[in-house]
Amino acid sequence: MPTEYGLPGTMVVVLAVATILPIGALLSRAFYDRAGNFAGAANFVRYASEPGLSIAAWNSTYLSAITTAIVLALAYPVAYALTRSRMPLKGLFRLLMLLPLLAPSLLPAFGLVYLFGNQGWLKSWLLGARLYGEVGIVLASVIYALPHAVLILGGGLAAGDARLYEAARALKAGPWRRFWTVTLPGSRYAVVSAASVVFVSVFTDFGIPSVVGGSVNVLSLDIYKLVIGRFDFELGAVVGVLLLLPALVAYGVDVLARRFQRGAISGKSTPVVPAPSLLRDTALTVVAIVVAGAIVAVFGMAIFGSLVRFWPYNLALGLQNYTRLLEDADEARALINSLTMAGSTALAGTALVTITGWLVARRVGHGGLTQALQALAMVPVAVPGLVLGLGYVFFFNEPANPLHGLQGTMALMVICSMAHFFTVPHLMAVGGLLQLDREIDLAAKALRAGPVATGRKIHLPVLLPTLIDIAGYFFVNAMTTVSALIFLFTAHTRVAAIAVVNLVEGSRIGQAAAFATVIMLVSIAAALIQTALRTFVHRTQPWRGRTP
Amino acid sequence: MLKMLLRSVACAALVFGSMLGDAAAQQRTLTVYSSLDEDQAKALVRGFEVAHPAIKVNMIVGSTAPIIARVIAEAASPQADVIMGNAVSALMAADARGLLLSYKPAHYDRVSPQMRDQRAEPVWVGIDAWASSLCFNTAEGAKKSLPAPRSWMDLTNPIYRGHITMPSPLSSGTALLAVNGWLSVFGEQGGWDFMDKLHANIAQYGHSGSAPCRQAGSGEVVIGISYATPGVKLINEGAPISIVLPSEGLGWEVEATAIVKGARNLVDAKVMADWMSSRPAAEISAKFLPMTAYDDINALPRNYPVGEREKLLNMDFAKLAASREAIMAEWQRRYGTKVAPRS
Repeated sequence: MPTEYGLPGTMVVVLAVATILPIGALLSRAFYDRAGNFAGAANFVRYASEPGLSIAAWNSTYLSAITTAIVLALAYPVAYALTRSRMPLKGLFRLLMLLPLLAPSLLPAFGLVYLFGNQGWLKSWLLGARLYGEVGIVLASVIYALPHAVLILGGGLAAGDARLYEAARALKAGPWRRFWTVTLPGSRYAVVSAASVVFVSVFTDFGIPSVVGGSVNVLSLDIYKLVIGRFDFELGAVVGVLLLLPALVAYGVDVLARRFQRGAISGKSTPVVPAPSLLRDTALTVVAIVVAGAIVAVFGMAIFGSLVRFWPYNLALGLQNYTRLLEDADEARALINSLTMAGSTALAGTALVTITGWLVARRVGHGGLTQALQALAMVPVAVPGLVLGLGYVFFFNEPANPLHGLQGTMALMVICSMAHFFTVPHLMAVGGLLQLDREIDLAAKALRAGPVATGRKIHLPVLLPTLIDIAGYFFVNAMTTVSALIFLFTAHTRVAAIAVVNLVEGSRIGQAAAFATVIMLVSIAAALIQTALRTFVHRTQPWRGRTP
Repeated sequence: MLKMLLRSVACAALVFGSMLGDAAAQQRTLTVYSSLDEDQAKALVRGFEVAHPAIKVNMIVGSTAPIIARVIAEAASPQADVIMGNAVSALMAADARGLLLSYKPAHYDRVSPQMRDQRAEPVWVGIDAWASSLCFNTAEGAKKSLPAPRSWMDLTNPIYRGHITMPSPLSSGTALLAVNGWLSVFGEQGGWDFMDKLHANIAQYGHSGSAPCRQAGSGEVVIGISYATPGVKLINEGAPISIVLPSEGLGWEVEATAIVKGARNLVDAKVMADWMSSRPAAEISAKFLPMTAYDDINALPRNYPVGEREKLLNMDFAKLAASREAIMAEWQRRYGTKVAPRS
C-alpha cells in the first residue's frame, strides 16, 4: 500500500537528503583526521584537553535553562491570552509578539545596545550590571525565542473541548482548579515541545553570544572559533556532535510526551468559547501589554537608530540611510532575491510539512518509518546554521553526488532554509493534528474511507489555519536567516539578510539598521496577509465556532 | 484541498526549474571571492571590466575567515576562480591544503618586493597592506577625562581599565595582526608580559576585527584595537573618532590575489591576476589604502591617518606563520578561559 511504505519512505529519503546527510558530511569529520584517515575518538580526546571546555559547557547549559524558564513563564500567559481570553486587540498583540521573528536578529541586538549599552537610555535599569555578558545573552535570547514558544503553545491551546470545562464546572471546580486540571494537562505536549525548542535553539545559537556575550564563552562559539578562526573542521565537528546531545534528550522527552497526550478534540467535542471574566481578562491584558511593550521598546529603539544621522552623537532625524540604500542597485536586487527565496521556501516547506506532520500525528504508514520521520524532523533545530551551511557545501558540492547540479543555485538555498527551519512547523502540524481524537479516524475507517481520503476530507481542513501559520513561519525565517546561507550564496543569489551583514562589516551601521527595518516591514506585510487568510478560512469553516 | 496543495507544489517546482536555468549561464564569466573593503572590491571589479569588457565578474564579498572556510569546504569541486583580496596568513591556510594554483602574474616583477610571495613558485601577489591601529573616541575620552593613548604601552595604564575592547585572536585575523606586532616589537617574553597587563584593562574580547572600532565609534567603549579602514569609514559617517597609530610600530599584513586550483575559467582567472598586479589596479586601491603594490604611488585617502607606512614593523612572516597555532594555544591558555575583569 502506498500509504504504508511508499509515502512515508519517500518522505524519510527527502528529509534525510535535506538534513542528516549534509549534516553528517560535516559531522563525520569528527571521527577522521585532516588527511581523511579514521581517527576513532582521537578528536574528542583532543577537544577534551582544550582549556575552558567545561566552563563553556556549563555556561551553555545554565544560560539556556534560565532563558527557557523565563520564556515559558512569559509565553504561556501570552499564548493563553491570545487563545482563551477576551482580551481586546488580539490581532495587534499577536503581531507584536511575533515581531522578533519578523526581523533580522541584528535589529533586536541594536535595540538592546541602544537601550542598555554603555550609552543606553535605560542603562540604569540593569542596576550596575553590564549588558555585555550573561545579562545580554539572556535578554537577547528571551526576545529571540519568545515568538517560537508563543506559536507552539498557541497551537496547543487553540483547541480545547468545552464539555470538559462544563463537567469541571458541574463538579464545582473554580477557575484555578479548572486551569490546573483541564487546561494545563491538555497543553502538556505543547509545553514540552516549546521548552525543548527554546532550550535547544538557545543552546546552539552563536549569533547572540557573539554580539552581546562579552567575553562569556559558550559551546556554540567554540564551533565558530574552531572552524572559522582556525579552519579546524575536525574539532568543529566534534563540538557539532556535542551540540546534538540536548536535541537527543529533547527527542526522548517528546516521544514520551506524545505517548501521554490524548486527543483533545473528539467527535463529540464542542469548541471552547471563553466567557468574559473581568479579572482574568484584565490580568492577562496587563501581562500582554508589559511583554509587547518591552518588544516594542527594543525594536522601536533600533528603528529610531536607522532614522538618525549617527547614534548616539548626532540624533538629527532623517531618511538619509534609506535613500542611500535605494540608490544601490545591488541592494534592490538582494531584496528581490530574498522575496523569491522566502516565497519558494514557504510554498515548498508547507507542502512538505503537511505530509510529514500528517504521517506522524495520524500514525499513517509503517510505525518504524513514522518514528524515523519524527526523529529526522527534530534534528535541524539542534544544528547551528554554520554546521548546516558547511554540511551542504560538503555534501552537494561533491561531484559524485547526483544532486551536484544544485550547487550554486537558489534552489539549494531554498532547500537549505526549508531544512533549517523544519522542526517548529513540523511540531506545529503534529500539534494541530494531535488535537483530533483517534476515534474520528476509526469512524472514517468504519465508513470505508482510506487514509488519503480521511486526510483530505478531515485532517487537512482541520489543519488549514495552522498551515497558513506554517507558511508564514517559513517565509519570515527565510527572509531573515544568514548563518547557513553565507556559505551558499553567489553573486546572483545574494539575499537581503546577507547584504545587511556586509553593511555592518563595512561600518555602515545606519544603513544596516535601515535595511534590516525594510526586511522587517516586508515580513510584517506577510504576517498581515497571513492574518487575513486565517480570518477568511475561519469564515469558511463555521464548525470552528466564533473564536479564531 | 489536495488539488490546491498539488498545484502549489507544481508551482514551487516551476520556480525551482527557472532558477536552475538561470544558473546554467552563458558567455565569459569569472567567479571572484573577496574580503577587501566592499567599496574597494567593487571599484577594482569596475576597473577590471573596463579593461576587459568581454569578461563579466560575479563577485561575493565576505569576511576573511568565512571566505577561506568556504574555499576549503568547496575543495571537492572549486566554485571560485580567483580570490581577490584576502589576508596572506589566511590564504596560507588554503595553500597548505593545496587549494591554490601557483602562478606568476604578468607584472609580478614590478610589484614592490614586500608585496610579493617570496617563493620560487608564487601563489599570491599583494594588493595592499593593512595594519593594526587604535580607534579612540574623543567625545567619551573628554567626558571621562581620558587622554588619547600614544603608544601600545599607554594601554596598560590603569586609567583605561574596562575602556578597551579587542577581538580574540582565536576568531579574528585583525587580533592576530596586533598580537604578532606585539611579539615582534616587544620580543617573545616581553610581548606576553605586555598582553598580561593589557588583559587587566580589556572590557571584552569579541569575534570581529572591525567591531572594536565600531564600538568605539558608538561610545560603547573608549578605545578599540582594530585597523584603520573601519575607523576611516566611521569618521566619514560622522563618528567622533581619531585613529591612533601607536609609536612602537604596527603589526601588519598583506592582502593578496590568488588563483584557485581547479578554477573553471582558468584563462580568464590569469587575465585577472595579471591585471591585479598592474599599476592601474594599484592606483584604484590607493584611493582606499595608502600602501599598495606599487611603492611609488603616494596617496592618502580622505581621513586616513598620516604615517602608517613609516610605522610598519619589520616582521618575520615565515616565523609567525609557523608559530600561528602555538600563539593561539598560548593565548587561549592565558586569557581564553577566564572572564575578563569588569570595569
